[in-house]
Amino acid sequence: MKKKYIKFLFNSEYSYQNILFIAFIPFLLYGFYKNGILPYLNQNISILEMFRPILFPSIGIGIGLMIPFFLKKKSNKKNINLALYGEIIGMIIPIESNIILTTIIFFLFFLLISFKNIKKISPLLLGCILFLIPTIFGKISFENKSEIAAQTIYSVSDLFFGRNIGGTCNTNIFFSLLALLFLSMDYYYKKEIAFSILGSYLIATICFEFLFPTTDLLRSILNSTSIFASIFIATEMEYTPYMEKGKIMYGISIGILTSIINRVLPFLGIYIAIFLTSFLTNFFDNFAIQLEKNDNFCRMKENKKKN
Amino acid sequence: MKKLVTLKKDYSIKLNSRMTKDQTPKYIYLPIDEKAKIKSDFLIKKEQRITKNRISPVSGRLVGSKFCDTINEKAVKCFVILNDYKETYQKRVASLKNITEVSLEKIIIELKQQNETEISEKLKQCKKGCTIILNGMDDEPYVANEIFLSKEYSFEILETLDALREKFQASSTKVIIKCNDRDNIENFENQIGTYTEIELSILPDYYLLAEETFLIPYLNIIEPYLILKPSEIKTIFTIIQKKRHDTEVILTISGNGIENPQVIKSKIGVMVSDLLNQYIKIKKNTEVIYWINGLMKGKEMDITNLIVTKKMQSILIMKKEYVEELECIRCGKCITICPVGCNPKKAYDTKNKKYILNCIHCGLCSYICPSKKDFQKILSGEKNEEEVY
Ligand code: SF4
Ligand code: SF4
Repeated sequence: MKKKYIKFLFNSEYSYQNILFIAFIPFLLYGFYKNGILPYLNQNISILEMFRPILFPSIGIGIGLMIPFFLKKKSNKKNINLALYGEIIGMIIPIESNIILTTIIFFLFFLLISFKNIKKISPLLLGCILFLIPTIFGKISFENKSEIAAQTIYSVSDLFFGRNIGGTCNTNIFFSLLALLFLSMDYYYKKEIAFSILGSYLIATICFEFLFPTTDLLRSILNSTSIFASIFIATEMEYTPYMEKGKIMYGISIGILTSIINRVLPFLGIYIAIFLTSFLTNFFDNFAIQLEKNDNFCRMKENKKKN
Repeated sequence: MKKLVTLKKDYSIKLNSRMTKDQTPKYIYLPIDEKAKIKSDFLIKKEQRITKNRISPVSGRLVGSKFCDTINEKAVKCFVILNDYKETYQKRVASLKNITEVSLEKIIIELKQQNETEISEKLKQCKKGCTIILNGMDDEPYVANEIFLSKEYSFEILETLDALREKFQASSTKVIIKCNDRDNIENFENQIGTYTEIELSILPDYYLLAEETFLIPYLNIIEPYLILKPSEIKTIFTIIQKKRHDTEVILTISGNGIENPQVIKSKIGVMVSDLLNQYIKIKKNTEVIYWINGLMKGKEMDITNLIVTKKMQSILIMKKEYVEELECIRCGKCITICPVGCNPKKAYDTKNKKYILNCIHCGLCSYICPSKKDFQKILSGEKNEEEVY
């Protein structure tokens, strides 16, 4: 990498990742309550198992910090990414995942992405898909022991405030929306993507429900996994469009695709949608540049006419 | 128009409140015009026209020639004048007259004769009944030339402005300063009472607001206008009322690499290194770099043989620090911040200039980039052509 003189006293610093660590604290606490304390109080799990919800993100952060340390890499943004990736993956995986297996996969996966520079697709997204693949084959359930035992049916407000089927710590839609508002104030957060995914997902889900009525509409809309991923994973800086209009097109595509795939794979739809749309990132940017060029051309023509 | 931004600044860089006057440079270096032939040891008076475009700012003796650098050119052959400190003046161009007694046409002709074509053109093109704006704002961070000029010569500036207002029968006359320029707000508020037709406008501290392209839409002015800077008004005053040549420039010398940032009134043709040796104290054990004409729009230069010219406005002496230029994180901020709708990222990636056709070299894209990409060198075509375009 080239070295150059610092020119400005205040070059902008990219602090978005540190903000995410703060934004996740309420999720971790709620996950601990919902998947740890509640099942323990209901006598479905032991006292040690109560700590599973915070154990997975902690393993992710730990291995994420450890690998660069052992590889003797200088602390840079990429290394912080690993810890953040670990935390996010730890928050979205099913509570009943195997601890030893998860640790091994974390270790191997982080080792792999430390050596291989993946350019087009977000390593975080690949990690999420890798960890969630067993759920497709029904090997691991997203429900915790309490939910399995009691066959709970949650009300809409329950779903909204976190009693929802999902990963270890990502079920609280209220916290997700609150975090979206908080992150929207950050200079670097790509809020256009999150808002356009959520908007188009909502509209597309309603439309599909009318065309092919299946289950409960509200339950489809209040899919905590999709909402969490659209706010935290789909907006990842390096792998998303940078043009304003590109971000919106990208978000809309993900929203529509998610609402389609969610009908078959409700906990994986958003990740597959982001994965597929990632291949179109550059196309959206170039298209947005073309649109802007045409805009400028029209404006120039108008000005000429006025003159 | 895109939203303008306020730049973050280091408030520990404080300029000395008084302007330093460098009246006694030992040597003066003036670029030699083509075909000019002058004998060595030739005695020169202060403000004497040596060639068509060169006027000596000191009295002294021509002692030879030397190759020096200017902002735009390298190794320019220059006259070397040894100052005799006698300040023997060339006779005045004409008898003294108050600016109010000189007609507009005469002002324009006189300015043109003194090679102040830019100002004379501005006055020539302005129509009667226009709005006159005194733009006392500095855009560049840590640069305060116009601010100090307004403070130092507020009386002369207001006098000249009022005279021009009368001559143009201006529909309105405004003095514009930035809200953080407290000294001038107080200064003008105290003096402006005498000039009932002149109003004071205080604008926010936005970068680029001092540029005509952004100022006029911001002020919502639709009628013809005439924008003058305090330095231009002072030139008009010096030439028309004092009947003298303008042989001095105001230079801001500041930055985080020096202990005593200040604004200096220097003579044209002084060697920058002489000026710095005499007035500036570089911080101990600090490696520094020199930015000429601002951090945003200016460029890094070697000052060894650099001379002060009329186009020079500031020398920023910054600590030399190394940072790593990271890979682009696709944040898109360089595009969002560009005030003229360019796409510097695309230009950088594709090596194609068509994405930055309207570029005004404001430096905002380099300023905002969190990956520390230095667009400026590329935009100004300074970087190796093969490497970039
Ligand atoms: S330097 Fe050019 S491309 Fe960069 S922000 Fe300014 S006008 Fe836009
Ligand atoms: S500001 Fe820098 S990091 Fe952001 S898109 Fe532009 S070049 Fe890339």
